[in-house]
Amino acid sequence: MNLWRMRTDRLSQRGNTPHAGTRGWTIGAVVALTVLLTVLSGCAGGLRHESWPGLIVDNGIIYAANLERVQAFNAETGKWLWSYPEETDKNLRPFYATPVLAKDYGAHGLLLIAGYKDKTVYALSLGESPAERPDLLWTFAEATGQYVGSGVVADGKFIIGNGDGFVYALNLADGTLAWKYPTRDRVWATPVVVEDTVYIASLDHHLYAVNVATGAERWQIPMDGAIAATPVYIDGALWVGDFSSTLSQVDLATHQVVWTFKANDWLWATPIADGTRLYFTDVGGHVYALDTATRTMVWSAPTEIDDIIRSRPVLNPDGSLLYVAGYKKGLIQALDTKTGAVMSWWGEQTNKPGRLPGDLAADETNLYAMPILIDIRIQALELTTGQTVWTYPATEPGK
Amino acid sequence: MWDVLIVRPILNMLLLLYKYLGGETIIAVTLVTLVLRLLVTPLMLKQQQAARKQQELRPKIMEIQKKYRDDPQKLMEEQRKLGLNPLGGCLPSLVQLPLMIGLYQAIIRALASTPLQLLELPRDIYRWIPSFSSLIPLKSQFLWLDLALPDPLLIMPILVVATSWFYQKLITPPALDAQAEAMNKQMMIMMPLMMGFFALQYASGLAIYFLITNLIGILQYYLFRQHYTYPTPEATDKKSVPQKQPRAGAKS
Repeated sequence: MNLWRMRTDRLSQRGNTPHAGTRGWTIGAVVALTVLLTVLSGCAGGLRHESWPGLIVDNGIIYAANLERVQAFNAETGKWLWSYPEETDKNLRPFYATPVLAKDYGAHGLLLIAGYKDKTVYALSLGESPAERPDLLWTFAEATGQYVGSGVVADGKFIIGNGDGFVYALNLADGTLAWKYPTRDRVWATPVVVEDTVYIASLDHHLYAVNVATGAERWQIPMDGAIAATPVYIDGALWVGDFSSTLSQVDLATHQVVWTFKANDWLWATPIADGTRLYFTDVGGHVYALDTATRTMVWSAPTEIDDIIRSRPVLNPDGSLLYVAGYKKGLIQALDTKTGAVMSWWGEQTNKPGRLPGDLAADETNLYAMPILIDIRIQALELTTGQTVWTYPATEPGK
Repeated sequence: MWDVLIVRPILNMLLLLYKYLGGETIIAVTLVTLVLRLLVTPLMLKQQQAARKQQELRPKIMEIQKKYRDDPQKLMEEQRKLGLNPLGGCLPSLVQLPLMIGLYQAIIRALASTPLQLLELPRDIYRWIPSFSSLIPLKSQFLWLDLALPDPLLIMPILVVATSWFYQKLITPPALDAQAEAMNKQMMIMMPLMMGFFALQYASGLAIYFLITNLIGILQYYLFRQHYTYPTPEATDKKSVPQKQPRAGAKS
């Protein structure tokens, strides 16, 4: 097997006076002001448009929340199909929430997107052909916080958490509010629906269970830390990672934490399950493979990329490889799921790496990554070799 | 190195105070600002003393400057004899700056106004102090403010501009010539406006930090007022008159 590792930017084209008392003070103040302004503008973050863009792949079409627009591409060729809005809208940027597809709603399905800055949910009615630009069906703009986590479609509703602490359930037909449920802090994790219950993980250190039809609370339990990772459901239990580095198994029948594991660092990335095995990463760059049936750690290891890991890992179709992405260095590493050994690497060191905070996605043939801080917005990589299949915007400059 | 030596100690002090003082971010920010301002107070007072000394020696300085206009070496030598350091006025400012920037960065990182900023935080938290990670996210609500977001009512930016202007007015030494006076006037306008601009644009936690820094500075001014009192230009000029006139006469 080839060893490969990907670096996202590799493909980027791209006083001695009598009045020294007064003057000295003034010079000091000017220097201080200059340094302060430099530091503030560089570090405050308020003026830097960064996010973790995300994409989904469905039937050969990629729907990507691409910093300031939602765009569709042919997954095989990278051909740009459409953008919404057509022109860049700075009020929308940047997106954090990954788009959600509601295939059974609308004439040909709905694409649901939630803006960070404009605090609005948009429902786009997809056309008959994937290349057809969608129409705006409805918007919901009653939330007062930003949308960071994605939503889930269940019971004819789009359910999504917001920075104002509420979880909103919107009727998919017209975008009207079906119910809203309050938590005590921001909700960045995607709600999880199991049967008739929606489970909400909040930064307020709590896990909530709510009736999906009415929004009525069923129970809530405190956790050790803030929860930003979407919990994973396996066999009657939710697996919840939090900022106290604790992975908890919550039994849904008794709504009790029945088992915990202390990781090396914060658990922020949403885990991925493969049968009874749960793969999860921490922000310190460690990867873990847990057998959820026996609750035994199959393997755990620090990745060689030695980086913050925020993005959700993905598996290849046969489950033999696990792909993890480092945020700051922009490296993707393929690990053997049996042993955790690094199977492949590819790339070279450069001075200005793109960053990979967003979730990875994969289909049968390609792995998709969305780097930030470089020109390339989407990279499609061949799953087994890591070779670049296409990039956007390189394939469609000017779009 | 910057993070290890400056930002992380301040950030963890902030978390420590947050943990043991009721989980109130505003109290933790106030106390950390206070502690750091107290640490740099001796430097600030030294800076004011240097400025004051230079003000007092103005006639003498002018005299030697006139005398050794064509001999810079000798001019520097004579100034050194008077105990003057050309950098004396601005060096303390530059020494204070790392702490102030470090405090600012610690506040911004701890409050983490965007998810990406929060992503940087785990590496800054000391793991040998248990349960710090469980404190995250810090409580960001204070009165009408979400400390991680700009003030929607614009009250904080206005307070920051007003207190910055007042503080600048208090600590600015009197100008000795028209050029210095123009610079002072510019600074009196630019500094508060810049602070106000950042208070407007960024997390209101930053505005709180600016406000607290200004208020502590104003309090320090009144506590150590004697260090900030300068002889007026008129007074120093009057002092210089009897010294200058006989020499002028002697030459003629």
